Amino acid sequence: MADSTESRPVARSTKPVSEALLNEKWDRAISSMIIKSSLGLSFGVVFSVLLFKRRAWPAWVGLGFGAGRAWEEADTSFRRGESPIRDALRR
Amino acid sequence: MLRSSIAPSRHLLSYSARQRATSQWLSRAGASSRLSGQRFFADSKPPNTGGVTPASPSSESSVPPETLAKAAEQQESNVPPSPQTPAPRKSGRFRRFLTYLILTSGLAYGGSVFLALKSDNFHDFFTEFVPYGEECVLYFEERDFYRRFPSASRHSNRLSGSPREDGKPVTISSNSGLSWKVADVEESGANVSKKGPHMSSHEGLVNAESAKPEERNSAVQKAKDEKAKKSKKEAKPAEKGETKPVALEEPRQPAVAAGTIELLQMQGNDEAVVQELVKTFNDIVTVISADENAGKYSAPIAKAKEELQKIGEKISALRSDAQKAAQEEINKAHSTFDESARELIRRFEDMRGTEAAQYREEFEVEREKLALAYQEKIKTELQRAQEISEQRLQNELVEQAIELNRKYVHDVKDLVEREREGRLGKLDELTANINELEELTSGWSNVIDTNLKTQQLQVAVDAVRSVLERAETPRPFVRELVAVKELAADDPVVDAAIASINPTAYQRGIPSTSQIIERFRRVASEVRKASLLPEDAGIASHAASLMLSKVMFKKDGLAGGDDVESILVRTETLLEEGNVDAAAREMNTLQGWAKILSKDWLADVRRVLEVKQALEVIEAEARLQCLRVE
Repeated sequence: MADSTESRPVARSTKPVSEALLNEKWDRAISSMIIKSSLGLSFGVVFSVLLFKRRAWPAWVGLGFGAGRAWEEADTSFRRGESPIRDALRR
Repeated sequence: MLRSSIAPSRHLLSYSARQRATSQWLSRAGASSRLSGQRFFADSKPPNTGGVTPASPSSESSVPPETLAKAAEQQESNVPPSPQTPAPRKSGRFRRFLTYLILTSGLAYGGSVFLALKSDNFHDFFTEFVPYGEECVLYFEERDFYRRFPSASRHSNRLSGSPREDGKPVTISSNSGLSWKVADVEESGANVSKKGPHMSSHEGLVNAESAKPEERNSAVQKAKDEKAKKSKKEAKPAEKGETKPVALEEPRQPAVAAGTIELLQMQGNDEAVVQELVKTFNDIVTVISADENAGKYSAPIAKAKEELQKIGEKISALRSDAQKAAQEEINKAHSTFDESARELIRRFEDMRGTEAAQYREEFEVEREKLALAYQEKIKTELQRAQEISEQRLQNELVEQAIELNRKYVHDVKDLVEREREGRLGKLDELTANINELEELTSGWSNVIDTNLKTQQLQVAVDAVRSVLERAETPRPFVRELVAVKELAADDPVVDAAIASINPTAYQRGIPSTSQIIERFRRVASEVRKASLLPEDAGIASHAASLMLSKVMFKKDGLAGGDDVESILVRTETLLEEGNVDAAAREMNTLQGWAKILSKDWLADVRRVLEVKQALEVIEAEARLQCLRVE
C-alpha cells in the first residue's frame, strides 16, 4: 500500500479533461465579457466626462465596444473547437 | 575645236623662231632626221617654196642642222670682213683669230679623237655628232691596226684591190703540211734504193740473223767477236785510206783484168762476221769492177783480198781455240757436277734410311700407346655399362620394394579399417544410445523447468490482475509487469503482449470499471449539453444548445437511432452490463463536439481494454506452454 501511495503523484498534465472543455470556454467567455464591457464603460464614462460634457451616450458606446470585443473572442474560441483555450490577447 | 586652236600656234612656230628651237631639241634627242620633216595632223600643208627648209638637210646628210647653222654663221662672219679688210690692224686681228680658231679646233679634234680611241662612250658621241669626227677616228684606228698587223694590211689590200686577176690554180707545195719524219733533212727525191729509214728494217733483219748464232756461244766468244769487229773496223778505214791514195797515186796503172776483178771466196769459213765482211768487200769489188777504170784498183784489191783471207783464217783459228777451251771447261764442270751429285744422292739415302728407321720405331711406340689407350677405354666403358646395368637393376628392385610396401600398407589399412568398422561401429551405437538417454534426461529437466516457469508466470499474471482489480484509484503496475517479463524469458508472445500495452497505462495505472462508469456519467451530462450543436457553432449556438438541453427528455432502454442521446443511453446500459468493449465501440460512433468531449474517457477505456487483453494473452501463453510440455 505504501508503494502505491508513493507511485501516486504522477505529473498530471495541465491540460483539462475533454469533458470540462466547454465549461472552461464558458468561464472564459463570461469573465472576458464582464471585464471588457466594464473597461469600455469606464472609458466611455471618462470620455463623456472629459470631452462630452457628461453626456450618457459615450458611456454606452464604450460598454458596447467592450461587450462586442468579448463576444467576438468567445465566438472564435468556441468555433475553434477542440484546440485548447488561449487568451486572445496573449496570442 | 582643239585642233583649230592648236593649229595657228603651230603655224606661228613653224617659222624662224620655231626652226631653231625644234632643231635644237630634236638634234639633242638624236633623231632629227626622222622627226624634223614630220607633219602633224593639225598642221596645214607646208608651203612648197622650193627653198631648202631649215630642217630638210638633216634628212640627207649626217651632219646635224646645228652644225650647219654654225657653219653658216662662220661663213657669215668669215665672208663680210674679207671684202672689207680695210685696215691692216683689222686683218691682223682677223688672222690672229683665224690661227686661234684653227689651233683650238685642231686641239679639240685631236683631243676628242684621242678620247674617242680611249673610251667607247665618247667614241659614239664623237662619230655621231661631230662632222668629220668619224673619218678622223676611222683613219687613226686603221693606222693603229696596220701598225699592229702589217701583213694583214697587204692581204686586205690585195683582197679588196685585185681579186684573183690571173686565175692561176692554187698549188700546195709538196713539203707543206705535216710529215712523218721527226727531223727531216731538206732532201727531197724519191730514191727508194738509197739508204734511208725505209731500209732500216732490212738492216735490222740482217743484224738479227747474224746475232742469233752468236748468242748461242759463250760470253767469251762474244767478247772475242767484238774485238774482231773492232779490229775490222779499224782495218776498214785504213784500207779505204789506203785504197784512195793508191787510186790517186796510180791512176795510170793498167787494169790487169779490167772489169773482171775476182770476187773474194772464203771457203770453209762459216763465221757470220767473216761472211759479211766478204760480202761487203764483194760489193765494193763489184762497184769497182763496174767502174771503167777498174783495172787501177785490181792490185790493191787483190792485196786487200789476201789480207782479208788472212783475217778470216785468224778469226776462225781464234774461234776454234775458244771452242776447245770452252769444251774442256764444260767437261770439267760435268765431271765435278756428277761427283757432287753422286755424293748428294748417297747422303740422301743415308739420311732417309736412318729417318725411316726412326719413324718406324716411333710408329711402333705410338701404335702400342694407342692400343693401350683403346683397351683402357674399352675397359672403362665396360665397367660403366656394368655399373649402369647394376644400378638399373637396383632401381627396379627398389621400385618393386616400394610397390610391395605400398601394397602391404594398403592391405594393412584395409584390414584395420575393416576391424575398426566392426568394433567402432558398435561403439558408435553405444554413444548414440547414451546421447539419447542424455537428451531424454535433459528433456525431462526441461519439462520441469518450463513447468516451474509457467507456474511462476501464472503467479505473476495473477499478481498483476489482483493489483488492477484491487486498486480503488489507478496505480502504476510496472513492477508486476517487469516480473512477468523476466519470468517469460524472451517468450515472443509475452513480449508482444507487453509491447501492445500503452506505456502510460502501466506508468500511471488504469482506472477500475466502477471508476469508468462514474466518469461516464459526468461525460454524458456534458455531451448532452453539446448534443444540439451544429457543425461550426459560435457562442450563440452554444448558449442555445445549453438552454435547450435542459428541457430535453431523457430516453431509456435500448433505443435505436443515431442521435447523441440514444447512443449515450445505450452505452450506459452496456456499461452497466459490464461490457466495456461494446460501450467503447458505441461511444466511438459519436460525431462533432460530442466526440471531442468524450475523447479522454475513450482513451482511458481503450487503455484498460488493452491491459486486459495483454493479460489474457499472457495467461493463455502460460497455459499453452504447460500443455506443450506434456
